[in-house]
Amino acid sequence: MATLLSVSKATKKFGELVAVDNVSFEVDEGEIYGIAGPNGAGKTTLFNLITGIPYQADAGRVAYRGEDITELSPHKIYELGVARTFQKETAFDTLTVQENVRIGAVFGTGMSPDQYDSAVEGALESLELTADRDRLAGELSLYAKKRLMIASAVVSKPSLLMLDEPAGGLNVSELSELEALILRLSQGETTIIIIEHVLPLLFGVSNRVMVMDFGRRLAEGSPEALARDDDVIEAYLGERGKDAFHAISG
Amino acid sequence: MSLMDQLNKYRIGLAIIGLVAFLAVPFVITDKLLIHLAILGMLYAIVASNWDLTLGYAGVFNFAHLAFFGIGAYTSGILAVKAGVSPWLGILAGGATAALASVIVSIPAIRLRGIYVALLTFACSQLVLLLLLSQPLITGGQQGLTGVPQLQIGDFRFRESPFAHFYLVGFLLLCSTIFLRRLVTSDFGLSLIALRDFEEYAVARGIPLAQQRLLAFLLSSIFPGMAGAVYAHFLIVASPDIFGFSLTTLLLSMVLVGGVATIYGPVFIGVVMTYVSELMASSAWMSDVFGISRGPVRFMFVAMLIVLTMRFFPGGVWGLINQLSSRVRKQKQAAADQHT
Ligand SMILES: Nc1ncnc2c1ncn2[C@@H]1O[C@H](COP(=O)(O)OP(=O)(O)OP(=O)(O)O)[C@@H](O)[C@H]1O
Ligand SMILES: [Mg+2]
Repeated sequence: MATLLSVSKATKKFGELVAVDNVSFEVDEGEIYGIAGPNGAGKTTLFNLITGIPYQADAGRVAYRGEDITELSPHKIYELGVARTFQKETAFDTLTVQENVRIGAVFGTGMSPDQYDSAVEGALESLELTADRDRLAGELSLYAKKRLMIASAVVSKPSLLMLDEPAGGLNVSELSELEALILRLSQGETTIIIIEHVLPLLFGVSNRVMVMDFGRRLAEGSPEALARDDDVIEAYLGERGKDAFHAISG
Repeated sequence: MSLMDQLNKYRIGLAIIGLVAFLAVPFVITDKLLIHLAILGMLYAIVASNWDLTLGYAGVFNFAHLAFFGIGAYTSGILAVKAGVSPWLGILAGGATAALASVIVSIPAIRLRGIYVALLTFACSQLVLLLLLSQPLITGGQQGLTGVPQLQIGDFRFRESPFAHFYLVGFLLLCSTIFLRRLVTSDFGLSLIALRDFEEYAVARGIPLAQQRLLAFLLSSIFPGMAGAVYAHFLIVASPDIFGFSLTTLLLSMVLVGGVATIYGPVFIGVVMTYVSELMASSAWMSDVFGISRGPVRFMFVAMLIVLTMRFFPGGVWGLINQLSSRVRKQKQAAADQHT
């Protein structure tokens, strides 16, 4: 399968702290690629330097469909078909739900007015926001805000959708809705990279998962393989946790 | 639904009533000073409402808008005095040079944030002033450019009629207001609000930051440039006072007291504030009470008004009207719901 995104030896430092340390990985067209790792591992920083928001990599290279996008401005990266969400639910609070989604469709997508009108309707519907369309985004509940952020990304029909912890703070039924949604999106033309702490969700949807720790790439493989990997378990649970894990799982 | 949405239902009727009322003003009000102030007020309202596009909608702390007005005034004035160019062409040229100046200021300004934008734009406007003062042979220096010809159509001289300037400036204000309202309710307006409210998210959704901010400067400079030109021909002088702190404060009060990000607020309050500030200047009691000369009193008053508005009604007068009207509507709605 063709490589869609290729990150090689990406590094980002904040002063002394190396938040992303020489990380390389590739994402194939059509797959769901998961990223896991403990708090502060550098996952969000990796998203940031791929999309150029709000900063670019200090070193290394990001290529999209073979084109170097390391130093491209963020809105150009969106134009290429890369849409991301943010870890903290984010919306234009003083605008309505419909306007929030519309912004995702109008700029940088090359759609005609007819096309974006219908794309907006489609995105509102697929994220069950049609009833809230005229409400101000600032009035929405957490889950609705998260859906709105995804709607404003998928409305552009992105080739690559990057979700940063979409499941944070959701209850069980919302989680299963989200899982269904992610699988539905990936059935279309969309390749997905997803950062997630909720491992059942992450391992449930991903074809491959990369685990990060201390800014580095610790492991990569199928969810099944990773669940047996000692280093991964240790990164999450610590030395004692690993022993406990083995005690339980035999 | 905001007040404007409600008014929208009757908009054709209201537009006709408004137009007739406007046309009737110079017939009803025969006091020359009042008409003179109305004309000035409408010119200032043009600048204030265009300023609102960058300050209110784009959230850019831009302090160059009066410079666009001044550049328009001097462009048309100099063209007419030194080159005999028709004032009507001068008005267009005023809009064009203001637009050019806006592009020059905005290129460095759009990448900066907050206070730095304010400093840069203010410095730019002072630079224009210094440039004008440094060329007294062309600009008249400190005294200003005098002998600017008045507007004229054939033998009809605008300053000899109580109606001509009033109607012309009213028409310019109307065009400018329609233009601005169309902008802010368009997708372009949406993109400015998005950038203002959440820059990172906005660029993550494909909005080109630099381009939209540059456009905001450019599109909001043309009418102030033209208004500046009309101002010079109306007063038959282009004066460096345009660039002074006092006028900047007055215009800022129109935007802030009128209501940021409303356009209508600065339009209406712009005219009102012009009267009020003139009233302050000519009334003796304020200066008696505070024991200072009359000149500064009005600017103290204007500054005080800005502070009080920001403290108690950050949405300004227009924001307050919208708030009240939506509360009334909600109460009516609640009452209606109870009946059913
Ligand atoms: N703008 C910044 N300035 C300084 N340090 C930062 C900045 N952003 C992130 N960091 C640090 O870089 C490291 C990686 O942060 P990052 O947000 O990428 O982690 P993460 O894997 O997304 O964690 P989480 O799961 O908690 O979201 C952390 O130690 C964080 O404190
Ligand atoms: Mg994170």
